[in-house]
Amino acid sequence: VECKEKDWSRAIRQARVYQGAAELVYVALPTAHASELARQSIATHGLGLLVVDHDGCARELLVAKPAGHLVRLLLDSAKRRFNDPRPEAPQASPSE
Amino acid sequence: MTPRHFIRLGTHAEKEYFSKLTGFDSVVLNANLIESTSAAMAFFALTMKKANHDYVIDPYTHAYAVEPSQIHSDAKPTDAKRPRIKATFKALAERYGIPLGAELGVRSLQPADLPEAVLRTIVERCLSYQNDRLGAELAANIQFLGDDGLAEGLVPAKLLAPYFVDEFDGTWTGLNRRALLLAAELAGHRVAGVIAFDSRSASDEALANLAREYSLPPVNDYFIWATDLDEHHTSPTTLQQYARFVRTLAQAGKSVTAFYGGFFALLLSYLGLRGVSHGVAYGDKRGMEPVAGGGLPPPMYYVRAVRDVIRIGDLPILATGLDAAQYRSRICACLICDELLRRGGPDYLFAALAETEYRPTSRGELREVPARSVYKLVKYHFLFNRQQEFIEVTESSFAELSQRMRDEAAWVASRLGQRSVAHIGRWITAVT
Repeated sequence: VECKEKDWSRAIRQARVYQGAAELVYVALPTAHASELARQSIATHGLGLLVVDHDGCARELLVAKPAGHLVRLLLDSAKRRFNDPRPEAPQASPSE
Repeated sequence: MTPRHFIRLGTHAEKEYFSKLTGFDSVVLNANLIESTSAAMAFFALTMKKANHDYVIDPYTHAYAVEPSQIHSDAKPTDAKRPRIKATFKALAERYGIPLGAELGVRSLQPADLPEAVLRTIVERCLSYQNDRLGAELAANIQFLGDDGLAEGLVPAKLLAPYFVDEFDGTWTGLNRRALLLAAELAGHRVAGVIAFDSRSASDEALANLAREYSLPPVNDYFIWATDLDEHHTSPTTLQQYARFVRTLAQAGKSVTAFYGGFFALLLSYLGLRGVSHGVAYGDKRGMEPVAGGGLPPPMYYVRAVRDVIRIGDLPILATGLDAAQYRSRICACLICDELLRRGGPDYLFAALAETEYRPTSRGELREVPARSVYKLVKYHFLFNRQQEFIEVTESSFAELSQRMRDEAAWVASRLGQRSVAHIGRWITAVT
């Protein structure tokens, strides 16, 4: 989910990159910024849209679809990273 | 005629690219890099010479006339009252005879510091440095080489006169010209000038005056550095001014090379530009006072249809629906891309360019960053593409090339948006 407070066109550019490695990608915007133009542009690219109210409640306005540029190898690699915890940072030895 | 292809060595780590590449002509070495590890640089220059690549040394004199913090070391000062100066710039100042003494790094050099006698000495020492420094270093290590004749031949193709960035406020214009004339007196046709000017302050009239001045004898070879000129984002007016400047000098019979240039500079070869210099990691522009710090920039992928780099994340969008053959014809068939495509098509290529690794931060945490291999792949890919572009401007007429550029830009715009190729139209207009 790509969250932006104001600039939905930047959110779309970033979310389209994520579509290369994720099956369903959403843009989250404050309800006030989810204009008709923003909704149309988001829909054109197969992105989902979540709108967030002042009180933090989110609603799904558009359902995401897999994009034509989804790369299966990138998706698999992203899934592997989510499943494998980040390695531990090397500990400094007491003498250091 | 194919423009002369210069590649600037930015760091020691970049040497491996030079040893594996063919097809470029010459190397640009920065004097401050030479001063930091002169023996290693001498051996590098010798290796290049054996592979038929000559070199020039950028004397980097402008560094003493810009904001003094540009030559400060990142290391913490030992004396809080006085900044620590980078050792290489300190050593270079001594070798050139820069008359700042204890004020080095405290204030910038001014024309008033350089009366005729002092300027003459600096010019002389600056040229001698370029001519002798690497050869002397090699001679000092000759026992490791076993070939006595090599050191004598290790001289640059041209000797560059000391230069300072002209901001068109009258500060450096006369002194730059004087330094060039003194250099020509001392070294004749071996001398080339560096015409460095702040592109942000350049007007039509100022550039026309500068071009007129440098069209005069006796110097015939110039490197041009339009500081802060970003080919991809600068205004059409600035591009046109730059193009006119090049054309005027070329029409006066001067051999002009862009000191930092990208594909727009290559297009200027249709107006008479004779050479383009760039770095291993693009290096098609340089600010007068480059911004330091900020960490390693993300790897970017050069796309010939864009004539610029794009984010690696945008590459799958650009290549949506292309198979390997179409990728080769539409985007790239360089040695790197060809091999990655052979191994597993476009998806394999995207995955190879999206490799990451964990690296410890200065705070001891691990951070996931693009893998080192990715930086290498995109640099080789860029260098192979740039090489092709030198051939492209040689073999195509401007009409053919500009039509091809427009067609390719239209295809890119349909996938990445018009903004990604907005510069193409501006470039064609500026050169037409």
